[in-house]
Amino acid sequence: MAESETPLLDELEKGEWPSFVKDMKQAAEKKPMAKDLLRQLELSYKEKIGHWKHGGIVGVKGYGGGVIGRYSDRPDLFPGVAHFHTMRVNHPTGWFYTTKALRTLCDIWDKHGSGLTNMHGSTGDIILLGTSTDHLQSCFDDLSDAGFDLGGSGSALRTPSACVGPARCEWACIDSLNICYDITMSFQDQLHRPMFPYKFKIKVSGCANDCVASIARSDFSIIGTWKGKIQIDQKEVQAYAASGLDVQAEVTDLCPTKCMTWDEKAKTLAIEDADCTRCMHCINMMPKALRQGKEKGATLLIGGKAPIVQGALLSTVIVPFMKLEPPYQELKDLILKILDWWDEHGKMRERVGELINRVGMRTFLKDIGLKPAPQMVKNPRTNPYVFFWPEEIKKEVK
Amino acid sequence: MSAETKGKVLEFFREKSRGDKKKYYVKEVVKGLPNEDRHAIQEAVKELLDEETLKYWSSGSTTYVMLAEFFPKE
Ligand code: HEM
Ligand code: HEM
Ligand code: SF4
Ligand code: SF4
Repeated sequence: MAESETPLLDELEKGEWPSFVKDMKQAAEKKPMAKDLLRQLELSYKEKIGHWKHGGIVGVKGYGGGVIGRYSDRPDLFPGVAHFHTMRVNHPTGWFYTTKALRTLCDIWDKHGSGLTNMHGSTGDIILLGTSTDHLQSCFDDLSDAGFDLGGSGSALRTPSACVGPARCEWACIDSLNICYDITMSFQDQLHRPMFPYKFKIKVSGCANDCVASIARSDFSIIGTWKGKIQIDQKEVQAYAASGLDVQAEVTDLCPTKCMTWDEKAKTLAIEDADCTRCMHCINMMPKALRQGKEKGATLLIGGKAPIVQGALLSTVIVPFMKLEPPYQELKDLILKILDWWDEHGKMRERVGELINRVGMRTFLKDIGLKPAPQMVKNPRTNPYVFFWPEEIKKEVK
Repeated sequence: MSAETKGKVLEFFREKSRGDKKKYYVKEVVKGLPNEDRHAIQEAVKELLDEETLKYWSSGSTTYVMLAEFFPKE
C-alpha cells in the first residue's frame, strides 16, 4: 500500500467518534479540491500555521455578502484550493427540507463546489464550503432557480433563525417560524447590502427553553412567553408524584424565584404567579400537569454575542412583553429604530450590546423611547450613585 | 439622495485612496463628510456600488467599501 500523504490527519480517524477527516477523504475520492484541502491541512498541522488568505470577494451581482472569499497562500502546492470560497445559503426557517430539496442542493454543490457542506453554520445557514470565483455567479443562479437565496455575511443583518416552534412543539408561545420568515423577507436590503458598523443577528425562540440559544447568540433575541397564571391540573401533579417524581426536590426547590409551594400532605401545588419569571423549568418537569398562561407574546432582549472583539454577552430584556401577530409592525419598527441608533452611535466593529455597555442602558432606552421596567434589572445595584437626566431634576425641584 | 452627495462620496474615496489604504468602512465615509446626512451617504454608496464604481471588500465578518479600480486582482 502506498504511504499516506496525511499521516497527522490520519490520527484523527482513530477512535470511535465521527471524524471530519474520514468525511473529507470520502469527498476526495470524487473531488481533487477536497484532496488538496486535506493536503494543505496536513501541512498546517506540520508547520503549525494556517495557509488561508482572506480574499475580499463578497458575492454575486447586486449582493454585498453571502460569499466568504478564501484563498490558499500555497496555490503552487495545492492548486485545487487556490480558491476555496464559502457560500452561505439562507436556510429554510426551522430547517425543514424535503429530501428532494436536499438532493437538489447537493447536486448543485457537486456541480459547482467541493461537495463539502456544513449543515448548519452557527448563524443557521446552509454552509457550502469551497468553490472558485468563476463558479460563484453560476452557482448562485442554480441556487436561485431551485428557490434558494444567499444569507448574510460581513457588516450586515445575518440570516435570522428560529426554533422549530409551533411546527412540532407544544410550548411555542409565538409563531417563531413565521416571525423569522417575515423578518427575513422584510429586511432583505439589510441582509444583502452591508452598511452597519458590524454584524447584527436576530433569533427567535418560541419559549424560554430557547432552543436557538437566542439569548447567547443574537444581538436581538425574541423569546416567547405568557401573561397570567400557569394552568395547573392538580390531578396530573398528583400522578407525577405517585409515579415517583419528587415534586419538592425536582420542581419547587429548583424554581429560580422560589414562587412555588408543594403541600406534601394535601398533595397540591401552588404558584405565586406574580413572582414567576416564566423560566419554563416546572413546565418542562411536568408537561402534563402544567401549561403556560393563556395570554401569549414575547419578551424582547438586546445585546447577546459571542467573544470576538470583546467578551461574550447575554442579551438583556428591553421589552418584557409584546404581543406578536402578523404583520409584526411594532416589532419591525423597534428593530429598525435600534439598527439606526446603533448605526449612528456604534464604533467600527462594535456590536450593539457593547455600545449599550459603553453609553449605558439608560441612554439606549431614552434614545429608543422605551420605558425602564423592573424586568430589565439584571442584578441589585452595586453603585451608590443615582443618575438623573437634567430635565428630571428640574421636574423634582419646585 | 442628491447627485451632489454622490459626488462628494466619490471625491472622498479618490482623495483618501491616494495612500496605501484603499478600504474604508461606510462609517468612515460618514465621519469624513460631517455636513452630509448619514442616510444620504449610505444611499450614495449603494448607488456607486450598483454602478460598480465602488466595490465591497469583505473579510467575511467585516465589510469595507473601496474604489473598484483598486480591488485586488486574483
Ligand atoms: C442613623 C443614621 C443612618 C442609618 C441607620 C443609615 C442606614 C443606611 C442603610 C441601611 C443604608 C443601605 C445600605 C445598603 O444599601 O446595603 C444606607 C446607605 C447609605 N447611607 Fe445611610 N444611614 C444613616 C445615616 C446616613 C448619613 C448621615 C448619611 C450621609 C451624610 C448617609 C449616607 C448614605 C449613603 C450615601 C448610602 C448609600 C446609598 C446607596 O447605596 O445608593 N447615611 N444607610
Ligand atoms: C472630597 C471629598 C470626597 C471624595 C473625593 C469622595 C470620594 C468618594 C469615592 C471615590 C467613593 C466611592 C464611589 C464608588 O464606590 O463608586 C465614595 C463613596 C462614598 N462617599 Fe465619599 N467622597 C468625599 C466626601 C464624602 C463625604 C463628606 C461623605 C459623607 C458625609 C461621603 C460619603 C460617602 C459614602 C456614604 C460613600 C458610599 C460608600 C458605599 O456605598 O460603599 N463622601 N466617596
Ligand atoms: S424554544 Fe421552546 S417553543 Fe421553541 S422548540 Fe424549544 S421548547 Fe419548543
Ligand atoms: S416557570 Fe420557572 S419561575 Fe415560573 S413557577 Fe415555574 S419554575 Fe418557577
